[in-house]
Amino acid sequence: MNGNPLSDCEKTFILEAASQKIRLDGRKKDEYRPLKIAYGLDWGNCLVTLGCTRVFAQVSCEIYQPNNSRPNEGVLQISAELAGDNKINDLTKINQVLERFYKDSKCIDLEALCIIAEEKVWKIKVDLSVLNMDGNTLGCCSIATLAALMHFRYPDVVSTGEKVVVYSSSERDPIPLSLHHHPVIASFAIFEKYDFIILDPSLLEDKVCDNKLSICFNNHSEMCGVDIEGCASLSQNLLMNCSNQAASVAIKLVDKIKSAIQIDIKNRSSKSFKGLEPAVSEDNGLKLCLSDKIHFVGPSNQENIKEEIDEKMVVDQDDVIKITEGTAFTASHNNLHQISKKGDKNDDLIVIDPESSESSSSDESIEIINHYKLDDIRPVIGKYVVSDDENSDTGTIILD
Amino acid sequence: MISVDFNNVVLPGNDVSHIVLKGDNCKRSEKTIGPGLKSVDNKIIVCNGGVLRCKDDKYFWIEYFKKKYIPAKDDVVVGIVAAKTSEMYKVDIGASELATLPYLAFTNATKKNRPDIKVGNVVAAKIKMATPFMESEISCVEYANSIIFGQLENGFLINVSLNYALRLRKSNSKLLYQLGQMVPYEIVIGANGKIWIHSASIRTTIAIGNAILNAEHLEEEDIPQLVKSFNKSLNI
Repeated sequence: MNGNPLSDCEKTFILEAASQKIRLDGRKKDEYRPLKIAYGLDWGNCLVTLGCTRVFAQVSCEIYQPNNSRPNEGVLQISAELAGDNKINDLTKINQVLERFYKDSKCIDLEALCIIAEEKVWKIKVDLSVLNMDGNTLGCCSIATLAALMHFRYPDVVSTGEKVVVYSSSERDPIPLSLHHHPVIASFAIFEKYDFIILDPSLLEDKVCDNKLSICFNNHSEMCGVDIEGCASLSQNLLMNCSNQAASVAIKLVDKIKSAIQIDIKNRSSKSFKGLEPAVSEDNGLKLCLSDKIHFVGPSNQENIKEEIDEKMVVDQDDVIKITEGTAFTASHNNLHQISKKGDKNDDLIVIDPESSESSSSDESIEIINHYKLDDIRPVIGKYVVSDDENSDTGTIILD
Repeated sequence: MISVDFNNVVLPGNDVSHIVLKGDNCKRSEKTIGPGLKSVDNKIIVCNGGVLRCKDDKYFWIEYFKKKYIPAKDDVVVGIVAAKTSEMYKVDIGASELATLPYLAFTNATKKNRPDIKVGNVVAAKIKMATPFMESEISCVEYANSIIFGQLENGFLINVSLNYALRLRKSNSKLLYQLGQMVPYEIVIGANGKIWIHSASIRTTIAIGNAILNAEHLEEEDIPQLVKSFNKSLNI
């Protein structure tokens, strides 16, 4: 049985709300739910709460024989599972995406994890348990993965000839993992029909939407991976907008994780450090879920938005993207420029939209180009009008 | 012994027989205990932590936080049609098993005149038969002066805990009455914690849903305050 089946009522209601650009919890379309990161007593142990979605992450390490193909590299393994019920097969997809994004982006210096080439390397395991699913599970998992990896420390090892000595934490301070960059995933739900793209979808929005787009960016605004789920056809322009947003979201998320780690390290030195206990007792499970949805959506919801602005992240899009790995994007971008120049000369169908109000990207490096649809062609090309004036001899056709 | 009274919080293991069975001995057989109470060795023992409630000095039960619905006869429930077979619908009412809804269990339905309900539609129904070892059976047949059953169109579904749904169903629920004075709406509250709301526009429906969700942990005195802020958000 697949959780709760989705009813027609909810589906049509959400689609209708999407057509009016309203979200059920009163958020703006580019607003994240409040994010909390709490660290446990162990290194690499954290609980991430995004709205009502909760993911618990634990990183562990062991000494392992390396693969034959890569004898001097450590191994990274990420596995997510649903706490309690494993019948929902949703998570295999999340596993695949996480492994692909985090391994292929080479964020961890795996060669530093080698102890003796071809014999002993460190294997880093990230175990994620999803405690509560309320939409954007992938995004929350990626935050938990990154937060745990950045926090994790592995024991110091010295190999003297044939002997390998592993020092306990009391003998020598454990070493943090060396991360080249910090990739994190931002998820979008796209309602294609209504041109409504939302960040951080809730569970219902996640189920109803046409397309799910997950973009992985690191804190240097470099793209690390894209995953598209669904059948809607996405335009380049839309993808560029989304990646713009994702880049700025990623920077904020990484900043947030970094500050959480700093606070944790500060707390650790004090003796009254309690680990996850306050975070868990504070949340108190389900009661929190209800009190979080406190926003009313009346004709204008400005009044009722609580003053949690510093906790929530509103995306600003002033950042310029550098795309290093996806060269396809830059290439297509140039093409668009050329097309737009042509369009200006010939009064053709492609016109640079001066307003570009919805996309709201203020980048100078990226211009927004709107393709006019068939219905919109007429005012551009001109109208055929039959004039009945006496000046003109007969009913001639004038190009307006 | 700790003295416990009605509307007090009781814990599992508490002995409440002295309150429940007080009065004449001969009247004992007329007293009924409900969910959360258990009779062991001629004593009434609490088995779920919650608030002890009573009605007419005759019915006793514990009101406790619960999300999983256990079907009981004559409950009005809201369910989602999950599957269709040759003779009946299977309806998800939030219980451990899907409930069955025969095609003939509709008002004016005959073998030829079948109801037109598809998978995914939402229905309001009454539980006709509930046994612990079988799928429960529900029916949409309406009798004189019963509430209207059958398919619910448009609107929106929200989920609340079972005890809160029961509290809302009481006729003296202030919240629903006060919300109704602000804005007209239709509502069906299922005993299984599913609530269907429909109003003129989407914004009002969302606002009503949020108001109901927020009022769960509020005291009775705070409800006017909530309704006030609700009204404010509607009128701006």
